[in-house]
Amino acid sequence: MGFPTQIEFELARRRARRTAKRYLAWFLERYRRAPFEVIGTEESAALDLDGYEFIGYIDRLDRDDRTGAVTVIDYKTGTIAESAVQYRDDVASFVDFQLPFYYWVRTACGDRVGRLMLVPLKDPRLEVRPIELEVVPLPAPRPSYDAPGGTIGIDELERAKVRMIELARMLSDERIESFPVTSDPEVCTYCAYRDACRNRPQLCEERFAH
Amino acid sequence: MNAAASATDDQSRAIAYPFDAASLAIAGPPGTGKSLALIRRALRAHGEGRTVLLSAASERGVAQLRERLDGLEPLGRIRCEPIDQLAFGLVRRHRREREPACESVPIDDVAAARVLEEVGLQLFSLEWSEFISSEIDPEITGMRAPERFAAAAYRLIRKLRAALISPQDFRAACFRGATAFYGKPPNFSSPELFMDTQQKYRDSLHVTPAELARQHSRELDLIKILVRLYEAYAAALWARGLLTPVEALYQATHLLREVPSLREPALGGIDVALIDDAQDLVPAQFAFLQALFGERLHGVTFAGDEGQATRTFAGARPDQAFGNASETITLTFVQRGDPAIVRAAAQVVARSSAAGAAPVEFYRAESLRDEARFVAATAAARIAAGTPPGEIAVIVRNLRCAQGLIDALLARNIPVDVAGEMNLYEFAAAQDGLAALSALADPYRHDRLLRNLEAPWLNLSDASIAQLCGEPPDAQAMLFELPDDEIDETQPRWDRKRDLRLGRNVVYGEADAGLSDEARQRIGRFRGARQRWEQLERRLDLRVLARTILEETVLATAGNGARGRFTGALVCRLMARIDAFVRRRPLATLDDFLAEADAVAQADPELVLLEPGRAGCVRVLDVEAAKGAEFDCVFLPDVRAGAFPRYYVPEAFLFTPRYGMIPKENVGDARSARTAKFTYVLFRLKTRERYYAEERRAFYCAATRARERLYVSASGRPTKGMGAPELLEELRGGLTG
Repeated sequence: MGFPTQIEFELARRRARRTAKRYLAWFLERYRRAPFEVIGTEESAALDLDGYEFIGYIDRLDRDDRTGAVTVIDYKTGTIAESAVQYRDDVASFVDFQLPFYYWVRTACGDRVGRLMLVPLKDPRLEVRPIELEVVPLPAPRPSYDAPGGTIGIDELERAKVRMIELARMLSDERIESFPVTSDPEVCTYCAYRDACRNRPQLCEERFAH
Repeated sequence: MNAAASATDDQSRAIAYPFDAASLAIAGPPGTGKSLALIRRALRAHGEGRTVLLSAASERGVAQLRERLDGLEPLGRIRCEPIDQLAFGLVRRHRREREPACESVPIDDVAAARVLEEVGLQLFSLEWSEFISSEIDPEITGMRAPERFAAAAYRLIRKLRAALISPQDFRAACFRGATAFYGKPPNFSSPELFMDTQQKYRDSLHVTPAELARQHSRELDLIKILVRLYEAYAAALWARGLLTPVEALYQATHLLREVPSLREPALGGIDVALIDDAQDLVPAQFAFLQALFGERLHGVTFAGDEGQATRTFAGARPDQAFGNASETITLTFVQRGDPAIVRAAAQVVARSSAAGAAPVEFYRAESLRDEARFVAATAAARIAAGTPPGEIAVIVRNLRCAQGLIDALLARNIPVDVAGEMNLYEFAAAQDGLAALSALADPYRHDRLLRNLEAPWLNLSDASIAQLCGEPPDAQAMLFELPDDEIDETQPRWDRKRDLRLGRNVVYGEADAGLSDEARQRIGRFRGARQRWEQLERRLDLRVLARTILEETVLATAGNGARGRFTGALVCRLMARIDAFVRRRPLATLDDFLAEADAVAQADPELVLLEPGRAGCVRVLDVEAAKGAEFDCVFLPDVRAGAFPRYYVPEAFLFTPRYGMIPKENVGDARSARTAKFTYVLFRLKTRERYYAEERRAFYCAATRARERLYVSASGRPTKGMGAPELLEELRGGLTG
């Protein structure tokens, strides 16, 4: 079942059904605007980058019927960037590598990847409003702050790829004495080693109410 | 206590007030000698041959009264004990007469919350017949996280018990409230309501009749579930003879109302009762006193300060004692402490300017660490200048966030004691203690064993630990494959192969060949100690065994200095817990204690208390633990919006006798995050304003613990004070003009 209790499973199932309705509504609307073909789901993604093998799974791949360009789609059930510019910042600051990695995987497979998309599925009350970035060859202009759509340059995706290789080298080739301790005590809630840890960050009051 | 110090006129009037009159209230701001007047009144009653109950709203208050009576002549007829002790005695005697086989057992809130979790198991596994027959829909507010739902339900039930509201009364009030609200909904378009509501919740006011009907239906399901849980919880406590202090008061009060002849045996000869911190009394305490002394409370004296009522959101009703008293004597002369500090603190409550200067120093630090260093450095300077450490207090709003302050003080070798709402098992020393005990009881408990390996008594390097976690080159092949379990990485036992491998390497030395000489010797000594403990376990009492293990591990490596003594004090508290556990369960094993400790470690932080420990230390306290105490010098750190005062975060569901249940989260096919009722009731009851008024009173209470000097500090930049007030800036602005 994967849930600690039956009630959590039942409530998650109901939420999933509601989310699915909204998702389907968005899916159909998107198709009406610009027809496409779903060419892959849960597609295995593996790529050798400078001798380091990276693997992943792409939630969905669409091919635009008119242009032939491929869109890489990742479903998100957690918190995601709230705008295209925020997502680009996450890529630029090497916080997020997932979509850039998928871009390179599909490019290596011969696809012309035209778009990267994050589809939020967290809140069943909200209409599906994806973060969508068009891949452009030139350095892309910065979109307006809260727009869900925007562009991302290939140069930015290239920098993400280089950084992935650097990190892989660091993890596998270099001797890492220790990892820095997180400063966020909330993260410790999910750690299997919290009772073993002698360096847990100190709790402090949240700065903003929730 | 200086019994000979002269009383003020008001104090003398209070002391001399007749005992056979109806209730007396002794009120007044901090430092005016209310508790002293109460104690002197108790001594007068004792001198007249009366038997006296001297008590307080909380156990902490009772302990302080006992301390003040220390050193006086034996006072055989003054019973200084919590009010619920009388209640417990009555219930136990009555129950024993009717059911000799059933022994009433006192339990704390942590144990009671576990009883509720147990009765809730069938709810969370959807085994109630009402779910199967679709009589109740389980999709109710808060249910997405069952553990938190259970914790919120326990807090609600505890308040209901403290307010003497039975499951039947609760059900009736809830259905009445729901009918009244949904039968004639309020005007959700009211401009005042709209403006008062935060923008992100305004969509909850856009409700259609159909949506309201849907929310009504969800609320009815919530009511049915909570009523059933409440009934099952009360029945479980009764069946097992378990009594929390509030439960004892609840049952005793009902018993006295039904059988008035039990009143005299319950009193046990007590003629008069004197109750301190009366602003913190809950209805059950007040009603029990009325059941004993009559509606008009003849012979009862209350002392307290409504300006320090900091427990109203926990169910306290200051108006009971002070609103119903036949006579109120207000003490006005500030006997101890600097009146200027009291005035300055009062301005925060009244949100006005103070008259004149006050010995208050402000500090705004760059960071929490910087602020902690300031507090420690200033405390050290005061100690060097002659202030005894025991006369310095650091009072915080949330003790769980005080670790940085504690570390900063210990780093300067300043002795520290901690008291307040805090789980002992959050401290590293207590976790080390559990790890050491676990090494004997269950060496395959991976996280605890790892903690041992890194702990000062073993102090192995990361490389050695990595070696011990790995497969030795000549590992024996397993005879059978372990079944694949579903992985929940938040649980300590999610990887049995990993657990077995580390355990075997440590206990049997299977990886010793790969260790350095030093590491091998250390692990060998530990292995030897463990074998010796195994031998001792067969013949020693659990308390002695645990003490032996802790002395050879945590205490042996605690070191000298303030940090070592702090560690030692925490270990002493752990040993006291073990002692208490063995008294309750004489046949229990070390495994049993560790299981209990695990359960307590996971308990709702609001339910666990750390009592004061050593004298002669700088006291790090929360506001409740500081009540009634006084110090030459007080630090109030982290006085910033969100910390002190804390932000108002409403529970998953609220209850009032008028509105019934008020669910927060809008569940099901909802458009808005919150229910319309919740948004409306928060506006109508001005709950946020009342909450921040209580936070101001908490600040007032904390600040007025200082006799000579008050330091108020915060870190980072202040906000504009829109979400929650910036009390440091208000105080600073008021004092400096």
